[in-house]
Amino acid sequence: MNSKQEVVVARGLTKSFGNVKAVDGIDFEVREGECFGILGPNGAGKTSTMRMLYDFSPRDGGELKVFGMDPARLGNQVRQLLGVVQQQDNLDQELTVRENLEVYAGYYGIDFHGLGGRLDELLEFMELEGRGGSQIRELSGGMQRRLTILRALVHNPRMVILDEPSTGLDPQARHQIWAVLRKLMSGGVTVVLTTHYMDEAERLCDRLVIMDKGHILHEGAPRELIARHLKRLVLEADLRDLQESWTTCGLEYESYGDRVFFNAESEDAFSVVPYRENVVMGVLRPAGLEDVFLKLTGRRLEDG
Amino acid sequence: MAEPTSPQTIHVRSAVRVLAVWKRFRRVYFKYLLANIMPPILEPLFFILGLGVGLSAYLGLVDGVDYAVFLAPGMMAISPMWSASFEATYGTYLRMEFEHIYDAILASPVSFGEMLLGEVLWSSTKAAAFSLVVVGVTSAFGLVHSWWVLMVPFVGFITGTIYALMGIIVTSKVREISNFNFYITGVLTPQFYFCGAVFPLEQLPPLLRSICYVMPLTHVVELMRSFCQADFHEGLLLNAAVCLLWVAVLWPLAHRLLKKRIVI
Repeated sequence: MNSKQEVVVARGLTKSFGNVKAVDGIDFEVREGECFGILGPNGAGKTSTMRMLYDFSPRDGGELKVFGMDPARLGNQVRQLLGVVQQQDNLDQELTVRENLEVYAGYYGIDFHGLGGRLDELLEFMELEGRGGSQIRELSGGMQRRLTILRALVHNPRMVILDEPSTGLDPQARHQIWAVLRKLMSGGVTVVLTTHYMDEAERLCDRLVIMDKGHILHEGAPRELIARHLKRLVLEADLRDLQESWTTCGLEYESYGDRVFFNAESEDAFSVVPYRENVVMGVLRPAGLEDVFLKLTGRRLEDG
Repeated sequence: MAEPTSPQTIHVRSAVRVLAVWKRFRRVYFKYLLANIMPPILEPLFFILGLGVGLSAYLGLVDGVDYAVFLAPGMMAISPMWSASFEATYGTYLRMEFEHIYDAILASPVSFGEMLLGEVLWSSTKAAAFSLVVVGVTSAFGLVHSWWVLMVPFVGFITGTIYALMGIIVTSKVREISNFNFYITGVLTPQFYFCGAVFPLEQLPPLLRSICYVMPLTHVVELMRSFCQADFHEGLLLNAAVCLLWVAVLWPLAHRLLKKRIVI
């Protein structure tokens, strides 16, 4: 193992629940300083994979090294280097914003009393300045999520792992979360995140794996993955707008529900699409990860 | 990259983490101090007034002492039992199912064992404090006469440990919050009435008395009463041993069952 670059190495990683293999012998590695994404629908095994990284769940097979240590043996020491943001909001509702941070810092062996300056700095970093005395229930969903992320940063972790960091947030709040993660990455922190939003993965991740049913389907940089599997453009059309002959028009396509996704390299190529009368053309856009997923699995990501 | 860490440092760090969990509970408790200290102060007070003072006049001597004097150590045993039991049933359930506090703690360097120890230590500390409050209230009524009563918080502490562990075991099996009624009314309330806290065990039919000798509260009450009345005999060693045995049996069980419930 090249320990200078690879901060996570997983080989044949397996997690079972009864007879179901939630994670079925996956291999991947995370390199220092990158943003690594695990993309997949609900039930793909993303959360189970994350939980094994910080030894919340014991693994059932395979090898795993995080910062050169086996989390199952040296969980305390591994977690000391990690910041973990779980999927569910789990702030201490009985404590204020500031108290939440102080108490959590205590778990890392940090005494936050008398470190008011650092705490204010962190609150500002997360655009929560002036909120130190607020009760948790007074915060919006986006603020609570930012505080949860902030709580994972009190000890200056070398790697932050986030399980669906922007799920359930409104668009503005999601952009704020992304801005925060980019700030972290520019500070050299390694980021591992799971998501079922392809736009999130495309925006943030240097490299990602697409998971489905416990397996890794593909691995690579987002652009690279798209280029490997698809031509440059996708035309998305409503099935009802097309003539019966659409399947034989010569273009590559995927269909899902009442949508048809034609794929081609240039805009001109879509001129062969046989629309019904009085129909304006469908939506033309660059091919994305969602299209890759659809092509690989015949399903859309958010359907799980 | 793993730095070599000496075994000593590992133990110190582990103790710091246990203490951090304990402090979390203390912090939450002190936040609502006024509401939280009402029950431990007022309940023994009402008990003394309602049962001790009210009934004493009709009862004459119980076990050779005034009924209120008999009742005082009983309350010192009951108060920590209820305190630790509620913390470890409804409290633990809310933290686990609704607030996901344990998930958050386990994402930090705190291990499951450290978290359990921190929580149980807090319940025990609180139980010790509650028994001490009862000492204060009963002393104010002139119901305790020995300096040995200062040992009461230590017995209160271990009472808290036993009932916190027992509550955690129950909680790890409970799917619906209403199911706690089976435990509270079915297991704890009978101990409250029959384990010698409110009347002498000798009044019970033999079978029931035998069952009571297995229950931890019986032994806690014996210890409390001895310290209150400075009345020592060899049987107390057995009482203390039974309490410790309960802790030794319950701890690994609580660890295994709660871990199974939380960690998936």
